[in-house]
Amino acid sequence: MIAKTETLNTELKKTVPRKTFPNITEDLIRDISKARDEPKWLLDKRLSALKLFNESAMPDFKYGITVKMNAVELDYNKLEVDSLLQKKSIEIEKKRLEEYVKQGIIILDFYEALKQKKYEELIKKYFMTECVKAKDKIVALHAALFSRGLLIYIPKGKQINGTVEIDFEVDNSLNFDNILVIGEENSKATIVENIFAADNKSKINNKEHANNKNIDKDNNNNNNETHNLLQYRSSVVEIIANPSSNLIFCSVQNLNRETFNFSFKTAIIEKDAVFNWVDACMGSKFSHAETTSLMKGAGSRTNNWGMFLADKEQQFGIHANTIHFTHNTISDMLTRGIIADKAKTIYQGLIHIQQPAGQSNGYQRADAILMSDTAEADVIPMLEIDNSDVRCTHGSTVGQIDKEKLFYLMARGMDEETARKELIRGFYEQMLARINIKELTGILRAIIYERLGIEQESIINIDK
Amino acid sequence: MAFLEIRELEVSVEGKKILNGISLDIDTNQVTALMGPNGSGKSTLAYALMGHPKYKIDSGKILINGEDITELGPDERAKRGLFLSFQHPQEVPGVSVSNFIRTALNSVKGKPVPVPEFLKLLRENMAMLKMDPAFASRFLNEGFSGGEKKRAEILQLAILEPKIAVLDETDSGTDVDALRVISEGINKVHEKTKMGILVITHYKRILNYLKPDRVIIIAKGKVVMEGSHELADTIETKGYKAFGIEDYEEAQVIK
Repeated sequence: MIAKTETLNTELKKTVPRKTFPNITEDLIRDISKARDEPKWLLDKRLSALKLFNESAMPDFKYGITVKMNAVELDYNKLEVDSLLQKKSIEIEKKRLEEYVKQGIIILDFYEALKQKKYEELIKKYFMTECVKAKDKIVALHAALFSRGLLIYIPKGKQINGTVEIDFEVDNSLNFDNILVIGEENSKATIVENIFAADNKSKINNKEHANNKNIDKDNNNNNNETHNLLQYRSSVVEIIANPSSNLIFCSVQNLNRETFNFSFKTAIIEKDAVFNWVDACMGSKFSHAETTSLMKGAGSRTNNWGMFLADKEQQFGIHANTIHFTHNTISDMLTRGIIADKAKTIYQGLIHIQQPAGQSNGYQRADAILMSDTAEADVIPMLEIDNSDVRCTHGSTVGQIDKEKLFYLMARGMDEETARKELIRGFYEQMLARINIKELTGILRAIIYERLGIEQESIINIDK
Repeated sequence: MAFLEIRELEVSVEGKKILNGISLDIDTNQVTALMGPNGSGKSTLAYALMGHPKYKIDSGKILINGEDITELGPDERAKRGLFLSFQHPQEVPGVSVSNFIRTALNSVKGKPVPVPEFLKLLRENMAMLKMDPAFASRFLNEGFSGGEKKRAEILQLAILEPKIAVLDETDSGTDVDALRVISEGINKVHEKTKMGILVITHYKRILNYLKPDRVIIIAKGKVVMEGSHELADTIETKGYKAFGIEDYEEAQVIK
């Protein structure tokens, strides 16, 4: 008996993935912190996160029903951690920044913000709080290693028209990026985060997308130089929507096809505040993208709009969560995705209505269209309802393009490929029309049209 | 030789035989009304002509301009000048009326039509069909009323200028005023392009405008009678039974 148990233990040891990595050490974290001249509380926060990282198990990403994600190449031994010692900041075009400042919005590099008592207090209060509660190894790693951050502060009563655009140019090494958005009472702002690969030389925009046809070639060249290292981007976005604020945070992720991408976005939504997510997952090799709305204040509302486009061998895990903590809260989640070639995606959506959240409404819908026989998708909507005085619905579909629609388009002379493209274009355009943010539409169209091979110039707008 | 020749066409849908050997010639500049009781195969003929994959051609041929197109896909048929105005047009969410028609026109022509030229065409034809210009930026058929859907179908017809238009119950779901505008629009296109029209209908109303050169009656998937405009009057007043044709109880295959 004893011998058997020992064998079993040995086998278990073999199969349990290792938790610690020789390159991710306390010394490293002290050096990263020192290079940034951080206050002690921040170093302590990093160190406790390292402890959590070392104690928690590697996630296996086995949350699909039929789809099995494969993340074997995710090996933390291959992180180029030394690159984190170099202090970097998030560049915002000077002209743009001046415009935002003129409108009364405060945008500061984390380390600039930490120099001012008021902002240091805010950062201390909110930075990496809610999302770390999940005790996830990957979030813990982020909290231990984060390398650059941005504070966006919208003062009380300040209503920003137009959008605040933040470009994240992500290079091939290692990136742990943070954005903390604090919208004070009665403030209003729309923020668009545009994440793109540095080797995708020109920033994707409406006009330049046609020039980016050599992206794959460029990527391959870079791979040869860095093939031993893991291209890794981790991002944490935290939103504090104070009472009666009205905020939108849009994120467009278009990283290169070698990058492992992890993003954790959390919003705390207070009384009578309205907060909307737009999360578009387009690039990367492997993505795990979470958006979470914590509806803490009565009368708050949230929309969570998700879009994804996966092709070749991309793997996406999309997770949208809405937690209703209190009464009279309304949430709506809507996600649409296309899966082509050998791509795999898993969408998981959760509405959790807690016991005190009476008279609340939760709605979610997710639709995925498979473009090939080898594409795989799971759509898993979940409801957890602890109060009977609520309204909650969910719906989901995974399927092929509607054959009757395809016939209708082909009967008008379009060949099958053109007809399919038009239907997919429409599938996304319908979402863009609903979201109705001009800047976001421009960025997303450029990416979607390029991927589908549609000339943007071929689309006309009759309103003009 | 007629532009469109249908030869001994036998068609089945999901294993059920619907057309039992229909032969029909439809030429350009000619208006043919196709009538028949429910389940007689009128819509099946329309779909089979356009090449719907669910409508299996068991035997027989369809020729356009002498070319056998029986094996061709719907897009190739459209390019050769065939047009079907659907009884229940599909919604195309996210694709505006203007963009849809432009893609269709470019496809049918085989080359891009310059935007200003296209917009002129679009505006003129929308005005002809008394359509609000704002209609052009709405997503095609999404949330359209029955009459709006039919107007949008005829707008496509007017811009694509086919050689033969099959109008499948274009009169259903339209009110009196809309039907008049739509019919007048069809007539204008007909006068301008000399296209041939095969109009499928249950009612005489639309025929008062389109003035068919002949009326064809089909039953049980076969042509059973051919006559002049007056045949439609007789059917309207006396029904198919007067001709010994039974009305089928079975539901129509096309929804």
